[in-house]
Amino acid sequence: VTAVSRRGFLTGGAAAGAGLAAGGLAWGPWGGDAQAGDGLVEWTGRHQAGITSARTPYAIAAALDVLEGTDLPLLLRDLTGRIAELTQGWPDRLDPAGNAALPPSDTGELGLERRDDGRLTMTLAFGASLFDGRFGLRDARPPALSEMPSFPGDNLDPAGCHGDLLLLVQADHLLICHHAVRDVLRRTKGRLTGRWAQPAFQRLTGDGPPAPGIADARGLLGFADGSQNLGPETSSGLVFCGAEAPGWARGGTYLAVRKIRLKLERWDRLSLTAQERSIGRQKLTGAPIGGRDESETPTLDARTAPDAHIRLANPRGPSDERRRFLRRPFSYTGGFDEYGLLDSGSLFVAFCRDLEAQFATVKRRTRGQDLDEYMVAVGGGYFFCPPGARGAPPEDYLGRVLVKGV
Amino acid sequence: MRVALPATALAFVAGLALASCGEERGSVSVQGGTTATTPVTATAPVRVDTTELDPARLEAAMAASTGYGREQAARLVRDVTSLKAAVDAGSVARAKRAYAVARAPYERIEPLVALFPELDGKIDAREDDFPRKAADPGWTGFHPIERALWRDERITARTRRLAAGLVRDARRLDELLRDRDVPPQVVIPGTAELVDEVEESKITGEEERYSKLDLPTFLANLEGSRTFFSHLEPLVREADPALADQVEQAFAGAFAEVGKLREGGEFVAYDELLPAQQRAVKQRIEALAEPLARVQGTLGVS
Repeated sequence: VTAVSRRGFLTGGAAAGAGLAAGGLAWGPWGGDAQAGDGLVEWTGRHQAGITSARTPYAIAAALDVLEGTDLPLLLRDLTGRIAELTQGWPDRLDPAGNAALPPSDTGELGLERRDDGRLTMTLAFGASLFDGRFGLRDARPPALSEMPSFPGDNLDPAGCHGDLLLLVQADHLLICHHAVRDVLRRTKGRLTGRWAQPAFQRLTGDGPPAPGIADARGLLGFADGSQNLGPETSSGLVFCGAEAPGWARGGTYLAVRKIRLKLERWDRLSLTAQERSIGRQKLTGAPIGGRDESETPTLDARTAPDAHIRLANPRGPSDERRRFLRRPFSYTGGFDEYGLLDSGSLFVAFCRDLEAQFATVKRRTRGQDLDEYMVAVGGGYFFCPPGARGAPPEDYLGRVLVKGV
Repeated sequence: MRVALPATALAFVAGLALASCGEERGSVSVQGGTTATTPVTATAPVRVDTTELDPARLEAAMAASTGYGREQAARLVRDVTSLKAAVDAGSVARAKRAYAVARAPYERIEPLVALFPELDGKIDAREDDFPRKAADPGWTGFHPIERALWRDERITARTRRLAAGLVRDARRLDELLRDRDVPPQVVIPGTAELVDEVEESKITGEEERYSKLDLPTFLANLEGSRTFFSHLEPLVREADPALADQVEQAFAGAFAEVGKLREGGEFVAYDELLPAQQRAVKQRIEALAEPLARVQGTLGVS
């Protein structure tokens, strides 16, 4: 029966309190015995993992709400502890069964053989509603964080928007992402509840980071997606917050997630010429219309249509450079809709230093692009990813300075 | 709705417990479960090992649970007798009120009824369980009466026969419980099963499909679960104080959430709840089911 308490980590409500969290760590250092293989992504650091770390082909964006009465510092501490464990090989996965009369600590679908694979990252972000006063954070809202507006042309489903928290879970397999989401949900019953989640996938074109100006994947439209966007190696100063942000937020970044349904049946009936005119790039090579290489800077001459996506998204004016942002795009499918059409599209994921000056400005500027005929945003939200943690609790946890002031 | 407890396995369990542990503390209460009346089905057996529990506390918990079962059974007899009287008087309105009252004592002790599966089938079965559904003559108990009162809004000779049968079956349950001490392998899992019930079926609004009395039924399940848990609480606290705290807090959260759904003392009909209200209740039930699921393992029942 004594085995119970060592299994209790994160399962507790606020009543069990810090004792539970501490109890959960008592069996050993989190990930301390994990093998540092290629499959484990370092989760500590100035920035959270999953933002500039190597891209993986699968993701789940999971928006969660915090139930009233929850001890938020304890929740963040427990969440960070479990993120540390799950991303570093979750030692309890290999534990002997312990008390077989209890539900197993790990759900088991990933097997017991390996725990150094999968490149799992779990990026935690805060939504604007977390700062609505329920948790005493009314005055702490990051300056550029608001509820994501409904842009012209959007058809947002309220049930698929916003959220107190967002977990962006990325890995080499969807089963690994799902395992992580499932694990967190079952350990936070009574404190967190699922609001919406979107599984997503991507086929990356190379093993390593793409060359500058080259997209690392194609979207469902069949075009290279994100050719001229910031690369993950960026030192542009366009992604992470600095002195303009409150102390706790420096090193963090804003996150826009948009679930964009693509009208694929219609798109697929367009001629190749019309598709290329709509995007402003050649489908096969990714080069701008009239250009030779994907990586070249588009000249946007008369051969590029006035309403082409690349012209409106980035007109290449003097001030446009600082509008760019870091994208980690995925595709999604929800199967067929009620009419038998593909319910598929893009899970647009973008990190930037200022949502308004970067993402929202670009979004508004693309209004009227030909591509708008083929897409409609149906969900998503704005979030803020706090800076990374120095280590697992009790040493540190995500959002610690925000909720504790130190 | 019947609790999934494999009462059929109890004979096995009791036999196992008696044969294998043979210790006083393990067998004291288990003897109550030695019943040869249960038919054999292919349900996985419940494994019980109460040898690590304090025998005096276990005995006290079982005595209190047995007492609670008898008290609720007596109340059930009283309340279904009132229901029969209203049905005999031909008053649909009175019968509806009496029906609502009579459901609660049954739902509070539903896991104990699983000791007598044939009775549960007579009292609380749903039409879906029968080949000819609502037209099946074998369908008896609360729910055909519910259907007559709410769907047909008519009392017939069959309704009167059903009400009389319900009184007979409630009396039988009452008698059986008087002769029987309830065993740990019923009480311990039953505490969580009452909440699983709520989570899995009642909350979808399928249980009281005609009367829409899901919320009172659901409250009765919660009350039963909390009562059984309160009997077990000293044992749980001894083994895992944090778990005991968690369960108590989760019960408080669940009762508070359900309490919000009363309007002037009466529960609103389940189908009138807003999706957000259904969601809020469900969240609290899940928050309760999670630690309760660890209670039985903590007490040596798997």
